[in-house]
Amino acid sequence: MEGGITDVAKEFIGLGAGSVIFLIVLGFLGGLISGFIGSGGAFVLTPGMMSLGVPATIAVATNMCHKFPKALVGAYKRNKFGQVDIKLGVLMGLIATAGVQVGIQVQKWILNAWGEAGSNLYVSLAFVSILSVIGLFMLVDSRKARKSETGEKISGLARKMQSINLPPMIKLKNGGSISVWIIIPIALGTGLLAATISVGGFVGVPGMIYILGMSSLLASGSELIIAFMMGLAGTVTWGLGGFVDIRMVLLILAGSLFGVQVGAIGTTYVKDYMVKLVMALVMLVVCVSRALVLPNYLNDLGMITVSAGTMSLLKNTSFVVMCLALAIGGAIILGNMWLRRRALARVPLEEAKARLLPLKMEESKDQL
Amino acid sequence: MTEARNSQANRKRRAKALKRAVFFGVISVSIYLAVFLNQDTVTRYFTKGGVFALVIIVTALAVSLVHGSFASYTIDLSGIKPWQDGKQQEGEH
Repeated sequence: MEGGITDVAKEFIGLGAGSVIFLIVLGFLGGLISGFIGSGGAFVLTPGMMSLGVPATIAVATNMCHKFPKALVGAYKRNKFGQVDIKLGVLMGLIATAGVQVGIQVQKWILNAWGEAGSNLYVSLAFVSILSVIGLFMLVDSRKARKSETGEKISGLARKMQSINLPPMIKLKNGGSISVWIIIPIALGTGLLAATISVGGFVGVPGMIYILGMSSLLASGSELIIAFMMGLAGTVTWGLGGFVDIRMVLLILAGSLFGVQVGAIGTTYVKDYMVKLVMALVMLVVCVSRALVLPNYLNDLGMITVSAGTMSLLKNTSFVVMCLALAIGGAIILGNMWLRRRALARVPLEEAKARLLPLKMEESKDQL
Repeated sequence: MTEARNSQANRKRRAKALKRAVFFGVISVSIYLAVFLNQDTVTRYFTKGGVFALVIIVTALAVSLVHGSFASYTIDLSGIKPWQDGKQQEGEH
């Protein structure tokens, strides 16, 4: 949602068969990641659309619009598995929506002070610094959780935070209660990051796990409510200016509504630490992707000199690495589901049937 | 005896799911065809801004309901179902 929205040209590209397939596949992979880790699918869609020749503003607006219906379906599905704290999600969603507005103002200020290259450098530095620190921390923690026989534990920081009795307090779904004053900075940070790099969940989910003391599954499920609310607010903002390309929204949704539901089902096949592991890997690969284009922006600002050929190579490599992040995440989720199903095939048929959650297909309310 | 009854109930459920998948699939394809066969007109109206932002939101929600239902029934028919252990882990945490 960077920059002003009334002073940019609207240009809507023609969509050929290649673009249509590209958007559907990208949508599926993005949805798969979002359904599993609660966010993270959107970061590749904006550059993906821009690689088709879509202007940046239209790409950002269209990405925002596809986000809220996808997150709604994902949250609905995850809630059926008991993985959503609705009250906390709505509260954080409201605060994060305000955080998005703060983020837009910060972006505008940077844009006015240092121009587009400065803004791009700020976004890339935010990507690299935040994602490398949180990504590495989560990777180490997921490895610890994997080795631990007792499974996921509440962090010491979260226990301290939960012991602070500063009203108003809110009860968490997985036990304990937390002060709203502790939730506010996490939710604001989520919105701020969403306005900067399109994926607030890279702060929101770790914040809920390590500061609020929620389980990975509950945090990633609740993040979908936050994404829905931020996406809806963003769509209203961009829609009022007429910047949403509904054709691309529908094409991305064609894939992502499948992906988000498969990703949500995937969470029931894995242990909690897998959510952390997938999130950490996606964050770190995206971090590498954004680090690759840093020399380009430094060149634009006149700080270093890079040849045009090298800049083009770095830009293309960065996009390929970003797609790789999606592919790695998707492969881990689908691979784990497949392995678990194979294990299921080895147990006696009756036991296997009993262990599959019975879906009440006759009740349409249970389906989406 | 019980096994036969379960198998029959399963077949009925699958048949019902298949009907619903086809039903939502047809509506979903119709929406996509309507949009893409008239994409110039659709783009012109949906990018007018102002009150048309509401049309965008309603369209996105309608597609998420219709296409989301189609996706859900199709995924279910393909045999991808939630695994019970996941829920137990969540409860234990």
